Amino acid sequence: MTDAILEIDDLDVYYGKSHALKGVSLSIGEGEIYGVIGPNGAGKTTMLNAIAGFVDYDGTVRYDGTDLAAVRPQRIVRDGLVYCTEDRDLFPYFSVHENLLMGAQFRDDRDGVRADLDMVYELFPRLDERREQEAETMSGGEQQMLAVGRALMSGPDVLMLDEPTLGLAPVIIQDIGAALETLQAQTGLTILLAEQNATFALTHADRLSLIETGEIELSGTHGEFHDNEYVREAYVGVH
Amino acid sequence: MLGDIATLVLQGTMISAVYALIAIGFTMIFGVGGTLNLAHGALIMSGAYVFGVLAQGAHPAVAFPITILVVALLSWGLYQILVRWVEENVVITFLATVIVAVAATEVILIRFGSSPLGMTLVSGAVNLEPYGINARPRIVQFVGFVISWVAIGLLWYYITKTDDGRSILAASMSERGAQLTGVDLHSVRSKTWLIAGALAGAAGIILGSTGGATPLMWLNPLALAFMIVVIGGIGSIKGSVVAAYVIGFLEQFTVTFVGHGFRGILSLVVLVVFLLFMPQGLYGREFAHD
Repeated sequence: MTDAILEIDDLDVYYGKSHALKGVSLSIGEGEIYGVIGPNGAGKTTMLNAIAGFVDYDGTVRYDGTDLAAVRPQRIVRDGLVYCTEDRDLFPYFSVHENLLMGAQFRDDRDGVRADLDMVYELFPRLDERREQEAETMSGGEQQMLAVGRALMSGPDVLMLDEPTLGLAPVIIQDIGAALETLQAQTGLTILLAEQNATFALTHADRLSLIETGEIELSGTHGEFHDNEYVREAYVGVH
Repeated sequence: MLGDIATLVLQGTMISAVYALIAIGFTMIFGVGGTLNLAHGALIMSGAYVFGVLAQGAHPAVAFPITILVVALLSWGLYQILVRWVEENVVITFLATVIVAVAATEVILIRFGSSPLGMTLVSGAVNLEPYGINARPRIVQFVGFVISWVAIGLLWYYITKTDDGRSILAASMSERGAQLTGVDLHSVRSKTWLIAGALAGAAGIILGSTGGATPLMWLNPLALAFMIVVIGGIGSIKGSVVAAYVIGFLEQFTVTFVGHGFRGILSLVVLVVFLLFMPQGLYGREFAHD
């Protein structure tokens, strides 16, 4: 395995008295797609929120060798750990193009930004067709593509994706999956993928963890998860 | 009749430009931080007094930029020293800023007394009677119009063409989205207060130069800013500019055809109509504060 770029060690998060994350530890290697699956409310989003610095936590999150405890959220983004939330949090009255430019707002390398714009438009031709359209007026799938595109404009080393397939049509899910594989293959991007859609995560992730009620129940490679009886019955099912 | 209409258009255009300057800063601060700055009028007033004092010793062309800078810094200081610590609580912010406004009045009463402080940005007037227009607009009114549009133009360029400025608009649409794209919200808010202060300073100079500075001159601009922001749509800069012209022309229409004493009546009626039937305002959709 390659060196870990993102290490989460013994992470605890409390919401008032409820214990949302109970000693979660993960180690994500450079260039891999790491899937975190589990039911709604298991703590996947809480974990990503903690890593991004949006909720307080006990334990350590180490990104590229740096402890993130004292690093402010905007600094984390600028250092290349970019978070694409389940709500997407797009700028509703900005056009597709303006949303993408916002992703790169802190960058000074004009040529790099232009190259990344081309890369995003090539990756998602639907966005290219809708450059001037306001984000708010687009379909869910297009908004998800825009959210991923905006995150890519920040020049990430690690991309955290929360439920990128939620509520989307199968054909769009395929497009997004293909985009993730392209990114991993072409740019060596590391992706931390939190998904209820275990089939999607199993299709694309190199390694996975199963999280239930705030605890990691199972971790392993794609092959181990694929053959695991419990995962197959509880999460993949036969549709 | 034709002469009246020409007067109306001329005066309405000039007064509306000043109203736009008054309202934009107020609406920007509301859009970005969700803060109602009741000291906005006081910043405008401080612009008038700072300019009035400086212009006694310096050339107006020197006093003007210094005043803008001073009021911008006052506004920024108001945010850093007071508002940023209480901005999460709407009621406390409301009270804290109104106290600042009242305190400013007291300071001015102690320092300058209650009689108006006169000042000159540009002197002279234009006689338009030969052209059938029954008015003698002062040159300072034209200058105010130009200043207003130069300021609006610069602001428009900043918020639509630069990453820095675009971040201000972005933060007013989605704070979380701004954080996710690496925007420093604190710095965005500080910049917004700085810009709002500069615009308020310019408005104050024009108001002071047309009508003199008085210790209670903050009330009317603050009320205007409220009305304009409601009609234009809370948080929308474009809406504020449009609504400033709506209000300015309504007022001028009443003055021309009804009488000076009824100046504010029609715009108040329109305000009520908006509150009842279109509370989101003309461009309210731009407001999506989290």
